[in-house]
Amino acid sequence: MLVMKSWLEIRWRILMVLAFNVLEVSIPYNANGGFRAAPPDPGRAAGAMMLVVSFLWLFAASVLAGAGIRSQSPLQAKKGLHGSTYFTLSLPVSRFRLLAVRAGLGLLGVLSIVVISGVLFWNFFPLIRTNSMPSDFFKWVFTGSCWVSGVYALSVLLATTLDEIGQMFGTLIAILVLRLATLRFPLPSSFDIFNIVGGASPLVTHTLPWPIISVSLGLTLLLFLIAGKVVQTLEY
Amino acid sequence: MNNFAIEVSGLRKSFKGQAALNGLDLNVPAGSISGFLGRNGAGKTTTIKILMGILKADAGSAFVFGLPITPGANLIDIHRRIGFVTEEKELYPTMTVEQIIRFTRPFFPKWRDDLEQRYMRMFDLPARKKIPDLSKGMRSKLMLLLAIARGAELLILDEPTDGLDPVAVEDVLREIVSLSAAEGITVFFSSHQLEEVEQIADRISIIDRGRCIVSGSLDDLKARYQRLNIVLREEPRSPVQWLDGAEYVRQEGRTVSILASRNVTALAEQARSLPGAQVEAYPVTLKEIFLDHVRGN
Repeated sequence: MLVMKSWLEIRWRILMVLAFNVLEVSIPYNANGGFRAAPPDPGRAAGAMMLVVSFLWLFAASVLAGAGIRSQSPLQAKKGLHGSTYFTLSLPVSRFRLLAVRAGLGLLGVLSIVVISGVLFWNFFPLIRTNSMPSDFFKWVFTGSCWVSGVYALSVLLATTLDEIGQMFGTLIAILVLRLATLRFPLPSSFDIFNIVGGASPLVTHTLPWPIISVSLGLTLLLFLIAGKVVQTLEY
Repeated sequence: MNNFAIEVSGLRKSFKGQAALNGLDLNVPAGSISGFLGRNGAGKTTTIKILMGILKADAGSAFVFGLPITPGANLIDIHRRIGFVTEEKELYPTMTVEQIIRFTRPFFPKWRDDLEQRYMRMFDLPARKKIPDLSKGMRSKLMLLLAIARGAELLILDEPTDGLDPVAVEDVLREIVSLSAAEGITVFFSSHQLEEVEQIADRISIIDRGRCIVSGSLDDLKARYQRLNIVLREEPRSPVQWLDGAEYVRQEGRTVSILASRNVTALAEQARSLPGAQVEAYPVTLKEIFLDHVRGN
């Protein structure tokens, strides 16, 4: 039943993100005649394309996150109202389970979008697979899923304390700040999680960047656990 | 094993240094209908939230069905036995009436299909309508249905009749009384409508500034309290030192009004001993007890 509640909450958002994906693909595709002519700098164009895809994933992660407890609209929150939060908290269910079901379903939605957008971009923009083998597609989608899971976990953590608008913008701002910080104070490349959708992407290296994948999955787990701890201790 | 559905002792809770509960003591006997009264900000909703495990107390203890309110298995067990109507009457905006019933039912093994059907008919709830399209009164009725059909042993109702029309209020109050009588359900409800409380409650707790200032059976309270209206021949030059039992004294010119909780006869005699005093004793309403206590406090 919690799955049904979560599904009703996010189904339109999933549809919205998918529509955004299709727009992102179709507009430049039509404008550039299907990218049949090679651009002057294919490497740079492919890099830009990867950045666009990463942003789409980031957007999906911030839109689909939720902690399963707070459910008030920002307007209600401003008025000090708490929506259906108290009804949810009166159910004989642990707060951790509420979080796990909502976050789990959202994560499934995000991963589906990663796969769908991966297929769309792989097929409609040959640039992105310049010098790549078909197996690189799977590696790319896998590493993208690991990266986006970390972003999603951060968004879930923010959703435990912020309303949905705050959580969405908070995620985008936090990622921007983190990216700027890693540019200003570079980490070893094998631990810089942003590299997973940049220079260390399987589309560039044709291998799976295991150290960054491990860091990314470790961070994801840690952020989910912190979110779980937060919802168990928070007062509403 | 004691006979209290709710036991609260020395409960304290502050928000940003502001005390909301200030050593609250409260007992709700199993099977009773207990009205929980207080002004806005007196601490009623904070108490209810602590009982539901939504807030944590800073100090003191709270037990429901003899189980301490602590996160984990206890709380889940307690929630399975409580029907709760929130002050805000907000439910999931993505669901229809029948969806939220279908959603809630599996969490409660003792779900009462008979009560669900009965209240669907009685409240005339539109099964296919989305929750945001319901009026506040309809949402209140739906919340009551969801609370009662759980097969709960304890109903915690925060302003349950808020938004209902007078006919629906009567229906709901009648149902609460008959449920409590027929099934032994304990009802703990807060309300600003003192007439409603007086109509159905058998026990009363009045809370003010985070402390319980009056508690007991409504009949006992009404039997114990009396109002003495005294008209003096002339305004006393110095304040009268009234005997023990004069809970609240209000004087306007030559007229003195005393809410007495005990020693009524002695107080009346003391009044009569004043020069030219005319003394009359009246029974009091719950409203008078409430107003005098919270104003006096």
